Amino acid sequence: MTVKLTALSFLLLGIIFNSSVVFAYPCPPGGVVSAYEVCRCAGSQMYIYRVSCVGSGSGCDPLGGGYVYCTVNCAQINAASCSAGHAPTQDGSPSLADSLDGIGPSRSACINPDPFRRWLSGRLHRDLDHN
Amino acid sequence: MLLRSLGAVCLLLAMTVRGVGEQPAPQPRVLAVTSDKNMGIPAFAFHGFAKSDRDGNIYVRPSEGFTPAAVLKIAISSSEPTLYTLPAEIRDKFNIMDFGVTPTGSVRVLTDTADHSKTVVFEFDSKGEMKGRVDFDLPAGVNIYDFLASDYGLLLLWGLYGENAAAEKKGNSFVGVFDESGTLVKRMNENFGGADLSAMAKAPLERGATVGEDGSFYLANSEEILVLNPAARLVDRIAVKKPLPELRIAGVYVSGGLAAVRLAKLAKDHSVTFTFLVLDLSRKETVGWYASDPSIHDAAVAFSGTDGFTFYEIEQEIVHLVTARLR
Repeated sequence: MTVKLTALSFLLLGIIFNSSVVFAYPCPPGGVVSAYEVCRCAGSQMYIYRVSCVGSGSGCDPLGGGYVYCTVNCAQINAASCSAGHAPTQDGSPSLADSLDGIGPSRSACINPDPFRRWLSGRLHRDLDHN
Repeated sequence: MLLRSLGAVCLLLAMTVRGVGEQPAPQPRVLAVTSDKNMGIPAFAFHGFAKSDRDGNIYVRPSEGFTPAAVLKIAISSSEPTLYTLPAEIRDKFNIMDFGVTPTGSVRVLTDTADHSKTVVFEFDSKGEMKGRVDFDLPAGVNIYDFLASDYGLLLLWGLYGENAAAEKKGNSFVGVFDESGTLVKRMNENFGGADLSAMAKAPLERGATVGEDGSFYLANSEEILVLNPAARLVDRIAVKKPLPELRIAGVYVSGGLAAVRLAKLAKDHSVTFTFLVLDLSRKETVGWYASDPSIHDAAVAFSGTDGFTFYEIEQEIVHLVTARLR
């Protein structure tokens, strides 16, 4: 019984999640734009074109847009929202990807951003010391 | 006799039609790799396309790691990258929209406030130190998609009137040339590639823009490259003959009398592959259609009329700069 309920819960969650993926999310006034972006997966990189909202309406992230990079084979998943909750000056893609944790094995294809972050942090501190 | 003649004509027509139908689609020439340099930088993703200066250095806007570095310069002749960093108090107030690099390597970062009420350019010297800011007054409802900075003190902003603009202006292009005090010195009346706003959710705009060493601006729309002289006067138009009609113009580079037009082929899964159409600017002729070696994933690129293309490539999670000569 427990197993059946758990399975049903997962099914319902899956339906809810997939519904949110499939249906378009309205953008605030300002419309949408599309741009080219580099997508990186383990061992490869590719360009995609990314569609995102323009404007400062409710929860629209003009940088992150509605697409999540680096899923299976670099395919994109429409996150179906202009992700809310973070400052627009920050990059949206990591938080969008995090919000999709548990979607399946796709995250394993993503590369590890930590080496670049550490490298950049070291450079920034060194530049500040010089100045 | 008449029937025989008619039959011959029909056969000829059928052969002609079949002959045309059987013609193979044109293929780009693959560029051979001429050098591959390990830059010692951990791999990272970035927004849009790289920009380059006259020395072939590559400038990108990292999108990874919540970085305060607005722009990162990767110099092919040095293992020391340069960071162009906006102070925290500026990052809190302004979004980075784009950046421009002059041919001699000065960086300008285009920003606006979250409510789009203020557009500001922050200026950096070639060592990465912020030198000042310029405030702009843009027309209401304009979304900027390209930003160029020349060594002659001019800034060019190219955009479209978006959904917030007056109804009669929506989708029209805006091209404004500003001096370094932020004063609009020239506004182009010609249509520089307007767009159906509803189409923008399906594919990026067809456009490209760059600035030449002589201070000329080159703006490409879906059909041609428009050349503005350093005084921002339209002085030439160069037709771009796409090898295949489905290819979309996604950028332009100018160096040594040549223009390399970046052509995008869009797939339904939103993935994109790029090729380059190289034009002789003075003769207004196509030099050739080129693709990068299949081992290169065609990320950032710089173009030199003498040295060819430079690509950003990742090998073993480390950034490499790979060059490929044109000839």
